[in-house]
Amino acid sequence: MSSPRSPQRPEALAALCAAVGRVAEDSLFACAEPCNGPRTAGLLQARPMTEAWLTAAVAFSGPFDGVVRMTLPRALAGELAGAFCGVPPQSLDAAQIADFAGELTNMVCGLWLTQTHRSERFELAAPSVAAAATADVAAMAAPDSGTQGIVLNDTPVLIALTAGTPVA
Amino acid sequence: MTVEAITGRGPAGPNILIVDDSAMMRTMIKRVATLAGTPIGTIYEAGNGREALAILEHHPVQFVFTDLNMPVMTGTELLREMLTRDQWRGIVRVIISTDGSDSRRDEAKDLSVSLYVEKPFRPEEMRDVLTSLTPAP
Repeated sequence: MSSPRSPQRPEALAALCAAVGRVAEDSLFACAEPCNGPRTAGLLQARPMTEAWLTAAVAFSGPFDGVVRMTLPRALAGELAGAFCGVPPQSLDAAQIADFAGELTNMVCGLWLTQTHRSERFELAAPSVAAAATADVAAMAAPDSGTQGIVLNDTPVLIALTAGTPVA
Repeated sequence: MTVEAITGRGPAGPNILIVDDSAMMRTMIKRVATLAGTPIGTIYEAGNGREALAILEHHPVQFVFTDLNMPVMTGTELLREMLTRDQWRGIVRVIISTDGSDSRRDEAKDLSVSLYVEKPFRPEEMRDVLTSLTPAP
């Protein structure tokens, strides 16, 4: 973390996981639980190598700056988006699923900051969403990568917190 | 910017403008509103404050549900602009945002905001908001 005001990463990741759980329960009718490194690695190894993934990022600035990133299978994003809007997942197009992945990350980041720093003011940037390859996802989950695994509807999801202002 | 006429249950209720840069969030709020069991007129959608002002200029709206953090024009800027026009004085304003910080809530008090809803919210919370704002038929 670049700022003396920044939270410690393990505590912040634990709080971010709690935020994912709250968002999943309140808005997605889904269940989320933290997942340790070895279990996350095992779950990722079991995923198809050709699976499409999405990484959604939300940058924030305020008393300290950073970026929250969520990486999840595109199919899971579609499933959750369908639950969120009450529509069949197969009726959603790629843009809608990407929009949802960004909003999901926005809700997680905003909830985390509100719950842990309610008396302080942060500005959140618009979410950015990009495709990710399975090999890249496995690398993201490597030990000491600063990434926390979460199981959401029995599917692995990665969440990461990077300190500092992102390079444009 | 889209406009959707909702088939009301019974007598037509208030027209609602939903302002959020996420189309999926607008869809979710719209769905909850239509299932809330309260009379609803027309639901309008805008992706930012500027689009919302354009809708307000041309359509009668009774409720505005707005996000805060949006590109082009934020929800705070939209609400400030709404204060400058007498014909919009009676519109009920509701903030729906991930940002529930004390300073944002304090700021909302100066913007004639009736309710502040933090994301994520349960669908029944939005139903309760609509019920509390809509007069019983």
